[in-house]
Amino acid sequence: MLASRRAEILAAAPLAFAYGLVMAALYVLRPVKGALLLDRLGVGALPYATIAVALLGVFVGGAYSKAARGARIDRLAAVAIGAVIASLLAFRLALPSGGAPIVFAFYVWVTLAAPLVTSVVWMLASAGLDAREARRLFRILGTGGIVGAIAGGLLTRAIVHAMGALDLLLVASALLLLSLAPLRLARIEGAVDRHAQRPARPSAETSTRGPGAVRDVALIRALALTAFVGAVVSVIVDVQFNDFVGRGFVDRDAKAAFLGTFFAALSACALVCQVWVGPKLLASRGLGAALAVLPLAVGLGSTAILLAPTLAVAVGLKFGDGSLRYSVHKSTTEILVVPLAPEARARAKPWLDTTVPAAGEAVGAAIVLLVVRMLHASYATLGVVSVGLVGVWLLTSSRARLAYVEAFRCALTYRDIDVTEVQAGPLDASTRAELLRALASDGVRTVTYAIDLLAPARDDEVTEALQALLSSPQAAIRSHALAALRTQGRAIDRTTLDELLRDPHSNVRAAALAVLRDRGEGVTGELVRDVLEQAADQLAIPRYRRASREALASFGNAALALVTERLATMNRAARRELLRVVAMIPTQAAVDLLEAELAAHARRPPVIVASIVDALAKLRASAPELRFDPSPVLACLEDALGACASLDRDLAAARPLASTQAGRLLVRVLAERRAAMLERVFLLLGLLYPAKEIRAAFHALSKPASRRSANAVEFLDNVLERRHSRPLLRVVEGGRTRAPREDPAALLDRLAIDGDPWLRACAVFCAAANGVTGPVARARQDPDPTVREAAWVAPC
Amino acid sequence: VLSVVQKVMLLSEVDIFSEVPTEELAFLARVVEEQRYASGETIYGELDLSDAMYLVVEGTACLGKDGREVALVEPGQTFGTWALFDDEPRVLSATARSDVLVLRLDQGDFIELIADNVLITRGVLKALAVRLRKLLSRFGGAEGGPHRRAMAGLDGGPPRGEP
Repeated sequence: MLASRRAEILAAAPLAFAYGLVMAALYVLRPVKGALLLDRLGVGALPYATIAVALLGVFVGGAYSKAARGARIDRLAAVAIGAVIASLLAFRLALPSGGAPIVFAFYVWVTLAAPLVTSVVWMLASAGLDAREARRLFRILGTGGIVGAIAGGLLTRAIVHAMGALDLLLVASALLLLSLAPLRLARIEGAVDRHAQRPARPSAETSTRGPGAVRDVALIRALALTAFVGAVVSVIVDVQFNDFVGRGFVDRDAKAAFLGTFFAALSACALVCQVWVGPKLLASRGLGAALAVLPLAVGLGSTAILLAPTLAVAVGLKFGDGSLRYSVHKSTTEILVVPLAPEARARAKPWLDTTVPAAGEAVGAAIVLLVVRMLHASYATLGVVSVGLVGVWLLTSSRARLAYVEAFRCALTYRDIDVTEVQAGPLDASTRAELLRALASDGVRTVTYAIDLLAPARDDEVTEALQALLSSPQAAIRSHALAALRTQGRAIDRTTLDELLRDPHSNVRAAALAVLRDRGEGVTGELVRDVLEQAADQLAIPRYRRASREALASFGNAALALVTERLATMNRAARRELLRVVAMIPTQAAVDLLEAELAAHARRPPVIVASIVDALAKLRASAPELRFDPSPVLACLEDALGACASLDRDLAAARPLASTQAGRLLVRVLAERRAAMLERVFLLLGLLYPAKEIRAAFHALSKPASRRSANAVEFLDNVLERRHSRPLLRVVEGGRTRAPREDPAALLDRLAIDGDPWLRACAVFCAAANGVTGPVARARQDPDPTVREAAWVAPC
Repeated sequence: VLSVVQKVMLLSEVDIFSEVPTEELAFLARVVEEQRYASGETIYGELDLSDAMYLVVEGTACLGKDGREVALVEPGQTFGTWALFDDEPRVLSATARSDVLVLRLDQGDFIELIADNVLITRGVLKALAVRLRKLLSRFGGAEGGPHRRAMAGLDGGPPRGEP
């Protein structure tokens, strides 16, 4: 597991580096665009620019989404970054001589391009990773981005005086160009294809949960209102900040240097809020407090700017807004969408993340224009509007929290929250309280679902609630609570555990066994024997099989002695289950046991041999570090290839009999035997050669005369050793043989004494139908009742 | 009385059992019942409870609706197959046109058997999938018609480039 995590991190490192470079470039551009706008056009142009960004964003975003849908993601990334570089170089040439429209266009273009460039990196990352990996590795990517943002801001400050603000466009272009190399390296295998094969977005007709859909609408509406008001306020804060910066610094480079430092500090503060303040606040105070912290900070800052309109206060206001908005506030709003049904979320999320804020920003800019241009008020006076809007914001936030709680309750009932999503992050106080309340629900499935969601919360209150559920009258609740306590690593007293080990329900006993195994205490002698015997007995009952297999496997080598003993005594179905248990024990002893069983393959029924090979294949995949002896596999492979060739000869001899119904049945039985044997050959080859490719070749060969089939033959010819490839290719290429075809009567005579009772029965019946009496007379004394019946009833 | 092998011979020709290994069909053969109906005798009526599938061994059965003849079922053919999978009442009636010998597979026995025998379940599901795929392709799947997405689902995922 550690190795796979390391591999994931290594795979994500180039992406994180590339993202850092992209963010550094954008944080070089951000102060430059601000400084240029303030220097040439003044803060008065900012509201117009904001409105232009909001309006153009709809078209640019739409065109980009359309292009992204059919394109290969790696090419899309290269094209998007290349286009931004080209546009920056063009602006570098045009800006010195260009007038106000060029500066305005530059500001709007950089603001629009930034999210497009960052989104391609995220798309590449999400296409290469599954949901679970993504949650772990997006943190690495995010950290790379924040480090890049800080570095970009500091770089601006360090070099702007030496180079001038305009030449920073070249620096940003160089950083973007550099990001292409790690992005190319970061092409995780299959990512490109997976992006292209993403499932279609759910259509509007996709049904959502009935009453849940109403709750979803209420929550989405509340979230949209909150996002809208928040965006309006952010524009006012931004304009106020830029007004003071425009007046506070004399020249363009000084403005750029200040903005560079400011954004670097802002990014650093956002990082601290993201990793430390946010989780603490969510865990201790819940969603309500986490949602209120940004409006309160902005409200406080806006009041301060009304009372003391200075650059320092404006900087403090923007600092509070910027650092909290993209850390604590963003994390909290991401939690708020968790209870939405997957289809509703897929539809609402892009709208909530882009359209609503863009509309809010446009309205914010219009309010600024109205107040400043028409009412002739100062920018500082906008604080009055901000304070009023903060009041509305707090109200909408409160409504959003209440809607979240309602939607969460509903989602618990319908169990359509992704458990891994809740378990991946810290559990906020509001969600935890709701889940604790759900533990008292009458619905067993709601309670078990809430237990699963609560499992990662390691606090005394949760532990106490889970311990109380161990005495629930419902077996499912007892087993889930036990499993959750085990996940938490919480101690369970011995008396309770002993009671649970004697529980009438197998799932509860299995969970108790797992706890015992973790503790390693008292898991010896008679108790182990008893519990293992119990688990082995339960393998015969389909509904308990999975739990029993897991329980047995959790004892590792201790279970192998019992497995060996039971393999000799239990029926065929239970033996297959036992072999599945062995496949779940990644130890050398398990491999040795399976190899010993394989060495005795000639005495084992075909279905058991297939299970042994399957178990070995699973162990080889899950624990490649173990020692695998090829000799029993080679012996079995040789026999299987021989059997395939022999079945081919039998099939050729039986074909003339296929004119009768009995003959057709015999041919079909032989063909089934051959197919099973050929599958075994490939399973065995999978133990000697790359299993995935061998499996793919086997499937390709199932469609003879296709191009895939021809490729598979070529692959086998090139990859396999000659001693394996020659007999195999003879079999897969039609089983041509030089041996003379056997007489059908002789064939029936031979098959009627085969070791396989079903083949014997069909051969006897076919012999009778074709007037071959010898085997029929013999079969009347056969030990197998089906064969005897075939012989007696046969139309002889 | 038919032997297990004879019953397997007949069952192996039935569409929904075409993908079930013959050895597993022997388990089915052991639970099917042989039933005889005299000419003109009703096997089941319209809106009767659907509780079994029938396979004609000898003679001819007639399927009808509202007293009209809809189809004749000859030896080796089945009728009432969907009774194995759902509980909807019979849409058609079945009557013996001549003296008829049928194999009757009871729904309860079938469900019990597939619950225990994964190879039978897999074979039946595979045959149903093949049947469904054929049906979808007949409704314009190959021309990119409305069922293309459903076909893609049967193939394990949407085709490349699908939005």
